[in-house]
Amino acid sequence: MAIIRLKQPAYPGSGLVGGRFGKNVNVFENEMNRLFHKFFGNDMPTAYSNAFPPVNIYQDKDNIYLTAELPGMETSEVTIDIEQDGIQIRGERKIENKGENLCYSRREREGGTFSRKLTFRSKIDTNQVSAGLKDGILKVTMPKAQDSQPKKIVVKSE
Amino acid sequence: MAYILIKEDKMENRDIQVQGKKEIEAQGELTQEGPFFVPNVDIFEDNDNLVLLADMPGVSKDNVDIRIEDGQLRIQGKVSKETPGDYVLSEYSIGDYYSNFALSIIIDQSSIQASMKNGVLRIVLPKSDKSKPRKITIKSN
Repeated sequence: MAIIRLKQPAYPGSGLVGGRFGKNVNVFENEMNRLFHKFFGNDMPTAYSNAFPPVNIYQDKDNIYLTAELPGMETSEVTIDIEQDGIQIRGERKIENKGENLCYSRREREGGTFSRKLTFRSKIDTNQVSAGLKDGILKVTMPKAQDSQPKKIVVKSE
Repeated sequence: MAYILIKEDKMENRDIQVQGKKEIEAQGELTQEGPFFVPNVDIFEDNDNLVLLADMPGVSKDNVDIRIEDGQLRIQGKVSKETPGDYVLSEYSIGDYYSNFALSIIIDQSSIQASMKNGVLRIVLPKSDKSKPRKITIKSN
């Protein structure tokens, strides 16, 4: 082995360094955060973060946005199914593995098939959805359907 | 605008192992805001080369910085922290990447090659001639 990592990676927020223990503490912390948010309410729930790929969801007045980290994936390897009230992302992440004579000294990148389905409260205008994959980040833009956007009603005097 | 996300279908079908992003704890004062992450890497070697693959989603070719200094290989990747709207759900954090490796002398440091594709950095480190495996033939007298 000719390459050595200098520092053991630390898991976020756990204060513990490396190893499986640190990871478990992190899972515990996620669960505590989830319960905390469930109890007190929060605008930014961090729910179910053990799924692959991890996604972020944003919205503005007109659109819902979904981003996901899919490093190394080509557009042809990701399938997106849009329904009126949800999205499903499927695919397979392939990890380069050429030849039998390779000797691995570190293997952290994971491959395999995945599938996630998310349901929204707002209806989506399915004809206007667009998706792009750039530098390993998937971004799906889903315009909200007209009837789920806030409407202004003018009160007439009689 | 309240929650728009209702539920996640738990009927999951996957065989991929999930590894959360690993944040670095700063050793001194940071000159920059926000978290830093250590990319997940694969390192493998064959007879001629040592290859390093690092997952750095969000890093484009122009925003990656690779340096060799004092026998160390340092990789750094910058990502855009812009978000398209207000957060509804956050399962991953956005931050720059940083990692540091010690290079041994068996690497031919002058001919290291690097490329970036779809958020994966690939560095090929050729082994120097003297460290390549050799077959020694035994001569009969």
